[in-house]
Amino acid sequence: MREYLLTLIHLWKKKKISVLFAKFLLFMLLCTILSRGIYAKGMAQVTTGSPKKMSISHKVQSEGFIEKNQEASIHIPSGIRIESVFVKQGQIVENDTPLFQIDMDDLQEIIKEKANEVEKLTLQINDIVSNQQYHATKEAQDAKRAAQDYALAQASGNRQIGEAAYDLQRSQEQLEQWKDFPSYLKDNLEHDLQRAALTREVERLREEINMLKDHSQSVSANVLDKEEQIRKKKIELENASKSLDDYINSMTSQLEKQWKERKETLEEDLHAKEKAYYDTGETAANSLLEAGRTMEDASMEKPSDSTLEIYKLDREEKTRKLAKLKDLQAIGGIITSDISGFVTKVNITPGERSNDLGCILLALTEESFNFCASITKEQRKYVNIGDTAHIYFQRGSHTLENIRIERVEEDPANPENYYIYASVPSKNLTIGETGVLEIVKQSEHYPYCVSLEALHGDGIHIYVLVLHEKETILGTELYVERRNVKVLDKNETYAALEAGTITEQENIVLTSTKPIVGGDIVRLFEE
Amino acid sequence: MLKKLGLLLLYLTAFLICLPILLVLLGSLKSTRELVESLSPLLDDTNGMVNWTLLPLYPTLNHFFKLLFSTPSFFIVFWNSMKIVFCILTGQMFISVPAAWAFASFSFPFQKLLFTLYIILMLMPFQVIMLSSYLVLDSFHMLDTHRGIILPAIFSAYPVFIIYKSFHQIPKSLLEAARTDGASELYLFIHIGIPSGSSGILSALVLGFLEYWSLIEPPLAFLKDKSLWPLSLYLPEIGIEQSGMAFAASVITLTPAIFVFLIGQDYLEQGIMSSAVKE
Repeated sequence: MREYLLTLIHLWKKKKISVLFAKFLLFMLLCTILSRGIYAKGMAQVTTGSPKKMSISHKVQSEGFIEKNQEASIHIPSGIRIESVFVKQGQIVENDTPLFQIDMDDLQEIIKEKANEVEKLTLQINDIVSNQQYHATKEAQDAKRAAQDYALAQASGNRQIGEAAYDLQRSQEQLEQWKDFPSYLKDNLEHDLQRAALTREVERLREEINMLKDHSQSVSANVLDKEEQIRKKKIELENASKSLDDYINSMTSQLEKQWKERKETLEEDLHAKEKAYYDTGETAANSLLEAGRTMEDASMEKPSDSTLEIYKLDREEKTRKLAKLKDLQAIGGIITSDISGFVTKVNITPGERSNDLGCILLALTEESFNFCASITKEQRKYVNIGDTAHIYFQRGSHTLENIRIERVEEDPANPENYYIYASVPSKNLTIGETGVLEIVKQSEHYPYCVSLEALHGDGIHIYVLVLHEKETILGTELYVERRNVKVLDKNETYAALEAGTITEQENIVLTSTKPIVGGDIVRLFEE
Repeated sequence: MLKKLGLLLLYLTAFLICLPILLVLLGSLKSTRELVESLSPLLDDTNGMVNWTLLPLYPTLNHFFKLLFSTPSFFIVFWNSMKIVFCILTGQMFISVPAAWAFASFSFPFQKLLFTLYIILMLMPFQVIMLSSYLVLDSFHMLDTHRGIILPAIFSAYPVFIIYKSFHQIPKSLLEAARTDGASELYLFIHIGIPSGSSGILSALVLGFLEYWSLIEPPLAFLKDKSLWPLSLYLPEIGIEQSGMAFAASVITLTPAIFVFLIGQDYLEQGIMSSAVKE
């Protein structure tokens, strides 16, 4: 019994374990389904599209308004007091409509003032003319005198140079002709009387000695006396010779000294003459140069002086102004409109003086108007002068098509904005009327264009998410791969991408139900 | 005293043997941060030693929830494993049981030689027959399919060996008596053989379940498609950031094996005992 019960318990445990195991497997089955559901729920659902070949159209839309095209200004000379103004801003005026009245008394005063100014200018002009004539005469005279001075300086210089040259030549000749010292000595000694006397004395003594010698040989009487005489004569001869020699030596030294002095004197004279020659030449040249410069100065063209012309122009202008003022006086000071138009601005006030701005500005209504719209710097890239646009006006619900863009100007107050102007016909339009300007530009054909929602950015790069398949445990699943791209052009809906980063066959993720990044598993969107 | 010491030693040994299971169980309850800090020297090639605490600091069931409700790929591999094991065991019932009965009940030429060959094949490791198996499966176009795993396992020699032992213990005289009474061989097999050898059959089933539930080499060699992988190949795919999920997956993987063991424990013991008892 006990064993039977144990067996039953044992079997019951086994059954319980088996049931538990079955429940476990059932639980796993349930979790299988649940996990798939949760996994699928957590997976982002995406829509995709392939790159297309297309051109990017750029639509520029901007609100604008009609403004005046041509504007005329009614103006009078500035500084005239206005008595009354007959029109207001926004008023339409016809031809010959009185616009405003000027103060006639004030006009009269101004006319007198202007006439006096004209008169003053006339007198000043006359003075200038007279001065000019005087100066012209004086200049001619100065020129003539300068020419004469030049000729004189030239002649005088030549003459002085000639004289100096002659002196120099003479001095050179004298120096050249100055003999050498031996010749000088010989000449002087030859003509020196004392030397001659001493020489004769010496010769006489020699002759006497010779005679005595001869006489002593022939006659034998008193030989000793003869020898004594000869001896005495010899002594005298020696003394005389010595005196002669001394005299010659002293003469020689003296003459040498004289010769040297003379030569030095001649050389100094030559140097002096040379110096005088060069100095004379230099002086003559300087004098000639000075005279030449004076002549050049006298013949030089004088600087222009426009004072006379300026005064003449001033006078002309004042005369014209005076004429205008007189015209105003003639019409009684009432200024009328000479065109039909729309008063856009009144710049004058009764009691105040007119200024340089137009007194009354009129917009011409017979010609076309301007449509002015503002665009951003980004839009400016797609708008050029000559482009055609459509303008839609709400009032009257009419459209102007193929309107040509005339001007594009930068807004001086805001460099990020531009104004575009198009000329529109004035028919059925009023100044100030608003409308919407639209320009559509087609770019070149790009081979890889994607929807703008396919582009993403992380602040540094722009990228798209490309759909790929991969084999996982769950089978073939879709995942996204991040691909950095470069955008060549884009508008509000499409962007053109640079070739080489994507292909036509690839699927690009356009939208996603959840934020996704590269590597995420996704599935295609199901309705 | 000796008895108590012996008991203590046994309990200690049992604890050490159960320790890996305990670590897996407790690891599945740890937070991801704890696991990353502990296992980063092992899985992340950082310096240092694994620093494992037994009890979790911040226990959580988050990994189980994530695994069971947000990871459908785990269930793919779980049911792959279930399919492979169920098909193999079913196939083995139809192939191995009759083969074992034939070895145990009949005498035919080269019986012993064939049986010896069976034992040799049983002892041969997978690496030895992997290449030949690959070529055969390729020729049959069974590579990268579950058939390539299931069919070779159906014809495994191991369950034949286990079941043969239980069939061999049926007295031959009983069989002869039944034959004399006019019972056919099929009758003998179905009404005598299978009930008598049920313990061997069930132990073969239990052992087969445990073996094929953690089968790794044939799927690694023959399955390339990840959607065909069993649990044994899925666990190594999990990285350090999902180590908590890896532990939870290990616990879930362990659970069917525990159930099967608990159900078939008695039969296993009987099967082991019956082979030890001598007549």
